[in-house]
Amino acid sequence: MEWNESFATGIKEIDDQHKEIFKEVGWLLDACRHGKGQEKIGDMVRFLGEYVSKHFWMEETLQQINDFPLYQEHKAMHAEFTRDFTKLREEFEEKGATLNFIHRINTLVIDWLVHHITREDKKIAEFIKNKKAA
Amino acid sequence: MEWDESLAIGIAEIDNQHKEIFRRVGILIGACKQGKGREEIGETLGFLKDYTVKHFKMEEGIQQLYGYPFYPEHKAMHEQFIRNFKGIKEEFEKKGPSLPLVLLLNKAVVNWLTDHIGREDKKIGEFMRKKVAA
Repeated sequence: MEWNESFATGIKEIDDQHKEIFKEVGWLLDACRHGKGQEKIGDMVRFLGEYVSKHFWMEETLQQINDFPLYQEHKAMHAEFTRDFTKLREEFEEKGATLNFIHRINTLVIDWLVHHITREDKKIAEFIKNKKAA
Repeated sequence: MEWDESLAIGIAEIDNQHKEIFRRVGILIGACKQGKGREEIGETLGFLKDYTVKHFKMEEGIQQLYGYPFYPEHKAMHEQFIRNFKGIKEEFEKKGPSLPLVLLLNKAVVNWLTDHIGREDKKIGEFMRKKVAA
């Protein structure tokens, strides 16, 4: 899982943070393939906890400033991800890093990167770019 | 034929689908015992048609994600099962339900549960526990 130009929105603030999460996921997958998944998963959970609040807040603020028309829908997707993640984190705190947990975190994040970034985040960037051009 | 914990891989996504195929094969066997195998065969084939596509794709995706070393062999077994299954299905569509066909399908699925899920899929579980969740 590596960040490449196909994930670029063209807004530097957003892309820089996306690159950051891609890097973390890459590390985690690499650890999983080398017998170190359990060692790395705690870092990932901590990283995600901080990242989602920071990143979603930034994206939502940017949307509000620019009167992005899909703000409510986008915010709802962020809230759903946060809910799913929080539920998983509680499971982690209760039962530790089971195989099922590690796999679900991986799936949650990879699906998010592939679907949310490529589809939804690009809409923000396009809107802002068009607005500036108009 | 019942699914039990000894068959667990530890990834709920896979295990739940395995439980489902055990349940469905149980229904087929139950029907056969009551002399109603021919009535059930169409249902079982319909189930397997969707199941094999969905389940194999998911299982193979997980193997690729974590670098399962026996991925090519495992995938080949899936393909072999699909070929075998398609042969039975075509026969059913051409000639309708017959006792030999019921026996053929029974043998194919029972072998699949014992040999593939009971042996090959267990290896995925061992790999995952040793590598991914280590």
